[in-house]
Amino acid sequence: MSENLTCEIAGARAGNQGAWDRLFRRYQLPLYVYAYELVSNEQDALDVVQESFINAARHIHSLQRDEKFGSWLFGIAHQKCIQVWRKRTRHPTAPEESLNLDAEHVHQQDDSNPRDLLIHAEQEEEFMALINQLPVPQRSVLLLHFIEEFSLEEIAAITEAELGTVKSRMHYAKRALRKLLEGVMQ
Amino acid sequence: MKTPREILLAKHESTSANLDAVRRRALREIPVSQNEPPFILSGFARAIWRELLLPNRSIVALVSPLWLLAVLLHATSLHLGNSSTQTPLPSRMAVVEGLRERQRLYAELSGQQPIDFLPFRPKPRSEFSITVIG
Repeated sequence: MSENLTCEIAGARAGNQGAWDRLFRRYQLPLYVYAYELVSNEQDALDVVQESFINAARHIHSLQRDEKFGSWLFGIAHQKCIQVWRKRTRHPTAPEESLNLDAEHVHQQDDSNPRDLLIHAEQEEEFMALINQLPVPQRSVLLLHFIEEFSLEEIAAITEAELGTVKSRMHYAKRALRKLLEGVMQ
Repeated sequence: MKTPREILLAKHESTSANLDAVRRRALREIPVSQNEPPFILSGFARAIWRELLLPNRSIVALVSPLWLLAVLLHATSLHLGNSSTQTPLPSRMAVVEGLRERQRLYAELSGQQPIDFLPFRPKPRSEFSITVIG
């Protein structure tokens, strides 16, 4: 986390509106991308972003470590996305809970840097299509990895899932992505 | 060649105007009272609050009424003690009179001539004389 961001969080804690504005600017697009790719609706995604910002401002005193601000904010947004799913399906269980079936635990560590994965211009559409085809839990893990380069532990905290489950989801999502990229290259 | 992040962010760049509006609305929604932290602590006090008190807030909540009761009882007992047991000090004249009475009784018991004390009467200021030595 940059020193600048740490200063902004300190300012936000002190009630500085300018600090909040700068923090919101920093996270508004990544948060929107995450929400949109999960709820697949522009208005719902905008609502998720707005409510996440308001909740963050109201509960900033509960943030224990400033360097975890990003994952904490995404955790709020993730919960908001689950609420959107619940409203839509009117079902007591959210996709996050019901799709735990894929959690065949794979305990191999996947530490590859998302910046190492480069996608050709002609692969972009296939890449986005693949993201949308993935089951929601795998999509969520992959998006958090790509958008903010969160560690597996942070992703587990955001999605409130076991670390082993997160590793499993990441493994399957990346395997699917690799297959796609190999197919396009051939 | 782009990274997945670049592709994802570029796809939604066009929403920036809507996101700016969302950000402004969120800033307006933040209540003024919520802008201020619940209290401002720094350094050690903040660490104590976070590490000791905050995790055990239920215990602190349970114990605090007992502490409050103890403080109230203490304050009440102090107030009662002050009002009931404290007696005014006797005046100087009363002390002198008491002492003379005791001396008179002692003289009677020991068979001596009781000393007849005249009551103390201060002289007028005009009768005071200053003696200059030398």
